[in-house]
Amino acid sequence: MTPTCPIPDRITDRIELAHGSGGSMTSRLIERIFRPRFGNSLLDRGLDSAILPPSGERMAFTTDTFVVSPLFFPGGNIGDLAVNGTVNDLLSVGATPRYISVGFVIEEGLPIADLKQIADSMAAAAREAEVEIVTGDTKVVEHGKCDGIYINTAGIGILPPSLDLDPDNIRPDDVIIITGPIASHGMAVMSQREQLGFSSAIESDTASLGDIVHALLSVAPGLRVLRDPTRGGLAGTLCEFAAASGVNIEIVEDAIPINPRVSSACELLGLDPLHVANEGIMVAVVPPAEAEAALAAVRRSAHGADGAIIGKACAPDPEGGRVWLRLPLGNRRLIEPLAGDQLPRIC
Amino acid sequence: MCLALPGKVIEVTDDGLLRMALVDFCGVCRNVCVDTVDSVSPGDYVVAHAGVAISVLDEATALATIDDLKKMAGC
Amino acid sequence: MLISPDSSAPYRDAASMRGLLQRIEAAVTRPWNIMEVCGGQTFTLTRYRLEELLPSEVKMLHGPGCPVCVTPAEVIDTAISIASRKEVILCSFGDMLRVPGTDGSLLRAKAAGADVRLLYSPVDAIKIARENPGREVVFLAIGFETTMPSYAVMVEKAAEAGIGNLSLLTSLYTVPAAVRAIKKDPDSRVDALLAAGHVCAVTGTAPYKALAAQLNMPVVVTGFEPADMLLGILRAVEMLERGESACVNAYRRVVKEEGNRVAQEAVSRVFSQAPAHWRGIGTIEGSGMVLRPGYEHFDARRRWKDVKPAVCLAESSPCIAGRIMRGLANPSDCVSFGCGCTPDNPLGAPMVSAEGVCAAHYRYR
Repeated sequence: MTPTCPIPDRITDRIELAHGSGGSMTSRLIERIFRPRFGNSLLDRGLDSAILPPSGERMAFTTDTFVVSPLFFPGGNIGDLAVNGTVNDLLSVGATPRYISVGFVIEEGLPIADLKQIADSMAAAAREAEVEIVTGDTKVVEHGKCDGIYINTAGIGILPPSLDLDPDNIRPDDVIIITGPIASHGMAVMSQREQLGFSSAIESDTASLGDIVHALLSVAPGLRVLRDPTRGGLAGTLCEFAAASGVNIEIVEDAIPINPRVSSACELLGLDPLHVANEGIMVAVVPPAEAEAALAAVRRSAHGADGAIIGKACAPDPEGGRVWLRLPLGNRRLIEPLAGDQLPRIC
Repeated sequence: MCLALPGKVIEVTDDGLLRMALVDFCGVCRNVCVDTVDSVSPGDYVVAHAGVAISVLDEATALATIDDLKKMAGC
Repeated sequence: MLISPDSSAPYRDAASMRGLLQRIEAAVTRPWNIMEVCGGQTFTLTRYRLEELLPSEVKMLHGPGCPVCVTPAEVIDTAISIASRKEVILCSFGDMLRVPGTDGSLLRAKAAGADVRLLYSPVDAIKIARENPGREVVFLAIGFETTMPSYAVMVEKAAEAGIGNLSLLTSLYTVPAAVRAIKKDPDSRVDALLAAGHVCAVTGTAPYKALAAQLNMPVVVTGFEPADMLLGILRAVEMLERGESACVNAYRRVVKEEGNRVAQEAVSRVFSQAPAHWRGIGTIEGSGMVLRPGYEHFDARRRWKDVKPAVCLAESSPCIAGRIMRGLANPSDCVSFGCGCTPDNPLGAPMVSAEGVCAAHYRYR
């Protein structure tokens, strides 16, 4: 007969420092919260490292760290954001995402219920993207030392042999496609910030975009480059493309899809939607001959119904590529990357 | 200066200190202080700056201006 | 199709804007300089690049209409000094936090540990004061006539509720006195004025009727959408060509002739006129507002008498912000524009706020 401790298992509803001590409370956290949700044959071996099977193919490897306030926002939370973000970074180079690692930095006092909900979302996002969470780590810091929870993820994906997506590939007359409306994630998060006092039905677009990327790769073999325009927004990504390729890029303001509510929120806060973060769209550059097929493929995909051709690459610029926005009256203005932090403007 | 946008009053409340209106700005709502304007009712449009109403939109004039602008397009 | 009265689409309609541009073209026969005194209008002009679409005879001058830009470095220095006290929660609007004082900005003070909070509305400071009875809440109250009613409500309601831990660090400006000073400068190039619609929504058109008569200059009360702006410019050109100097209201859906009486009364109960220092321009009599006797206990400068920043009223050279805001120079005339001075590294305030004239021109160049 095994002796049992007369003192019952201490019931806690919040994360304590001991949950990160590496002792029994850490084990319980892993056994009760993470393993039931993330479990798979690689993770379940419980080794210090996940041992991955050989693939014999080129691999893509990426990492990203997620800090977001508030942790929960309409359309998602920091958990699915972290998985989707890393999956999309792998997809952006044309890789098929396979494995993900997860590192948590948790603030003492975080409700366990919140952690469960975050882990649930991560598990669901991983299932949807067909990736496995194969290794992880948890640390707890004192109250006030972090903002609820920070999540670091790294991801490994498998790359087709000859695929080389790179902004360097962009040529004059190439067509710029966006797979969905812009600025939804940034405005969903910002409109939830308590001190701004807004309420809206704006939802984050956070999603993994495997279906769109596979559809694009199958109909547009000449695909030049793909990128998910997260922080810095569409403007940031296009400026990177222009700078790397040395060609000017021109987009048409009226062609850029945006949800009217998102547009309204941007106006209220005095923000330029071109600079606002996205988490569920891709910018694709394709040769002109493949543009129509690529757009049709995007629009048939689950997250691509609002996909649109928004502009094209123009002539190379000896001073370095720049991005221009064609305005409703036909004149154009230069688009710059975001300067400083994005702060609401009221006056 | 002074970013101000029109929005539609959904409801008006009074917490004993401040008279506030929930205002719908094309799908984004915020409480706006309406102690700075004559009484407003649900359905009115207020122009709000920094969370405070600075004017009540004159709907008839707004629609007339929109009409005038359309005529401008014809020339 | 039924159009909602608050829809912005009709005011951004390309065909309507083209029609307005054609009318301006048809009306103009001589060169004219038209000044707008509103950062929001400067922003619209540059956002849609309207200036390059106007006939070459019509030149826009960008007056001192950005509150973030005209607030002196000394005020920001004072705010930083007050914010560095442990008991203080310093609140202001987003773009105010980035403006450089003599040494650093409020954002930098926040990074160094000060409790600096971004608010959307001054009224929200009442809640923060109530929730933090042991702390001192200070609102960096910048702005023009449009923003003053929000401060007046905040002060009156805080007084009514007996809230003792809330104060204002004011830097408040009134437009007409500044326009008068600019127009009276012997070098002034201003032929007509676009009055800021949201200022007039509060004050009414009377101060601008007086200005038009006194300065013998057309004044058009103008809105902020691109078609509103073009309509304002058209009305100004028409009056200039006819030799008229009246004040007309081209933003009637928002601006009533008498303005907003409720707001005017609240403002005059709480504030009184005073001279004001405009960053880059200098002191202008009767161009500012300060808390009235009876409300001076809400004055952060009184509450922290001992907090004295290094006074530095001169704009850091080689910034020519003052000349630009008086309509004497353009951003492109500045040797630092776009090389030494950029939104990432602003040398002067107009490069900071998105509606600051230099930042607007840089971003939308």
